[in-house]
Amino acid sequence: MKNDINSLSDEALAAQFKFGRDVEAFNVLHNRYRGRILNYLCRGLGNYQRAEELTQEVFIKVYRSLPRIRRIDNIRAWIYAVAHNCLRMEYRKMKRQPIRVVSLNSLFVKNDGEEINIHDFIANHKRDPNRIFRQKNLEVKIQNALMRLSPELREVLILCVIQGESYLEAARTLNIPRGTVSTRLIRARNKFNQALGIKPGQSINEFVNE
Amino acid sequence: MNKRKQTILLQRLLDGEASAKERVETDHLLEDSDRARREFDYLRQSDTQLGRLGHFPVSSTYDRTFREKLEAIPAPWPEKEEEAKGLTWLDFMLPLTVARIGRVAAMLILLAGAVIALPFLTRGTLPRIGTVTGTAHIYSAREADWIKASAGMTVRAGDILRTSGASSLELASATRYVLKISGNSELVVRRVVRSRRTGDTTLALKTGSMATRTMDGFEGSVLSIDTPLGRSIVRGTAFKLEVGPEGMTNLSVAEDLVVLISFYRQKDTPATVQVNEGWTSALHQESYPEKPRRMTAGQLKVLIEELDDLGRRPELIATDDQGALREQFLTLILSDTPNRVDELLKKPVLFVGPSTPPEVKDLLVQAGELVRKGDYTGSVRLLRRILDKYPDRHYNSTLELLLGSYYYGLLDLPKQALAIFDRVARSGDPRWSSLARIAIARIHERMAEESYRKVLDMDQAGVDAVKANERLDTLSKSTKSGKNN
Repeated sequence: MKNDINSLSDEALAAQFKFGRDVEAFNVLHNRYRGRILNYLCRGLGNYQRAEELTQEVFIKVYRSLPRIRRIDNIRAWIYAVAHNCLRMEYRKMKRQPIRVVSLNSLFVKNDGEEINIHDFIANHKRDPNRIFRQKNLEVKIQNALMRLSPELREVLILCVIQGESYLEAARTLNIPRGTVSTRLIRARNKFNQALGIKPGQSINEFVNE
Repeated sequence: MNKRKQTILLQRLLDGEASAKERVETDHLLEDSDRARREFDYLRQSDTQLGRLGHFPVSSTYDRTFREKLEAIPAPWPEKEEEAKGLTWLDFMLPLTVARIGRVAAMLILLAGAVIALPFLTRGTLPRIGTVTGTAHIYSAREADWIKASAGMTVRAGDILRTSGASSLELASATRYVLKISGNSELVVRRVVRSRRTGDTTLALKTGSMATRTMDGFEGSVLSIDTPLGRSIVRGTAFKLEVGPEGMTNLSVAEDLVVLISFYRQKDTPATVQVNEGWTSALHQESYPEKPRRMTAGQLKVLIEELDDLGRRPELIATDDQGALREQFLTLILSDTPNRVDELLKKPVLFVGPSTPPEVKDLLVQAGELVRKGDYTGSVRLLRRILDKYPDRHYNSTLELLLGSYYYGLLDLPKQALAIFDRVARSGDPRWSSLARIAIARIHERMAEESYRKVLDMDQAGVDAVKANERLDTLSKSTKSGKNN
């Protein structure tokens, strides 16, 4: 039975939850999207703890609103739209605060299927700690460059490049025209490269080895 | 190709959004142009760097805390059971086509609304109760209660009209028919078609008798009256129908013909007879209709007189004979309760002297016309307009007396009638003030009479009932002496 539910489409799960009052259908939907939403929010906020809390808030909103929505034709876009709204609210709160810089304490790595803090990972791992540290340092650098972008440009970059959404899906989530997604993406890429200090004509390896 | 278009094309290629044509175009561009290659690499840099970012896993405490939060909130589904139907194939189909179906459904609803509304926009009026003599009641299907029948009330399908004792009630459909139910009768209104062209009506006479006359506007309509044993179908005629014990039905026709059908059937063949003008027929239990027989000259004369009177209201009579006018008013005001409306309608009087302006005469004629049509409120409104427009005229006292009589006799508004009569009584005109005082006394007497009767209805053996009986006797004596005077 559980396998049957897992094979259902998002829309079928939403309908089963809405009309059949099946909480299990919601759980499947939640498990399917919580990781993506967490990453979307985490990249947007640059704060893992807050992103996790916000992910829970997003899914509580989904749980409350799903029985009341009329159209259940694109649940994925709808969940992303809910997350996007939560993110915008969070940006408003963050306006008064200085730009957050990602701390290494908020970075996790997977070790035999279990996620552990990077400090514990380095302490216990057999691999070269310097190499791990360099890699994680690069991630922090990239994340900080991302955080220097305006929320509009950051979101479009996260959705289209990191999450791999199409222009159309991103347009639906952000509630903007498709052409605007394309324009913002060009500007976001340029700004991101500038924030990272990548110059035109510079090769990828050159930047990594810097 | 300009720089901006080139950048957009390169980005579309990078994001996998380029069409086949665009891919060919960008491939050529990348082969031919160094600048394009450099730009493409530059754009790709961001993707490569962002691709280095790891994936954040969900923490081990996430599920537990989320479950706790979820359990703390109430169930999100609506309370109503009917909204939480089981999952059907439609629920899976709906998301894909919901917008289209919604639009089509909205159009269909609008169309259906227009089709439904059309007959209502062109429909005729409902039949109304005309003259009520004595006590008659109507069971209103809308209000699900018995209420006292009064002139001007509309009658709908499902209503029941009931008369008692010596009372009678007239029912009129604007221009189609008028029927009079005599005492101890019960008539059920089964169907009323409110179309402008036809006004088909189905009634059921359970008991008692009724006389019916169709009018000029009846053409094309069907009036069908059921009795316990049969059905009479009418297309433009005047006739009388009586229902006796065990449903025995008598039909007498004064004009044209009526089709009489018996509900008694053998081998599914309905027994039908046509009853012509001046003929009569009857229905008995478990038998076909009686063979029509000719009415005697005397019977026919009585029937014609009865039907001639039906629905014909005299026009407002204008007279300059003050003596006759005073006498008529006196008769009108002192008439016994059950007959006062009939008297009022038969003798509507008005003093019109040689100095009455022609425009007032016209308005009075219009008021009389409205009374004839049964629109008493319209007539009252017109009389009030005359009084407002031409105050302090010599004929105003007679107008007010008539108006007061309408209020009391037809519209059953004793307080308003008392106010009008009081004004006439205080006017100081000796010809009419004495009449108004008599009217006031009479209304008070009748109101007291009604109150005592209510006391008797509530308790027939108590001390109050004895007192009420005594007062009623006194009142009846004073009424008789008043009449004699």
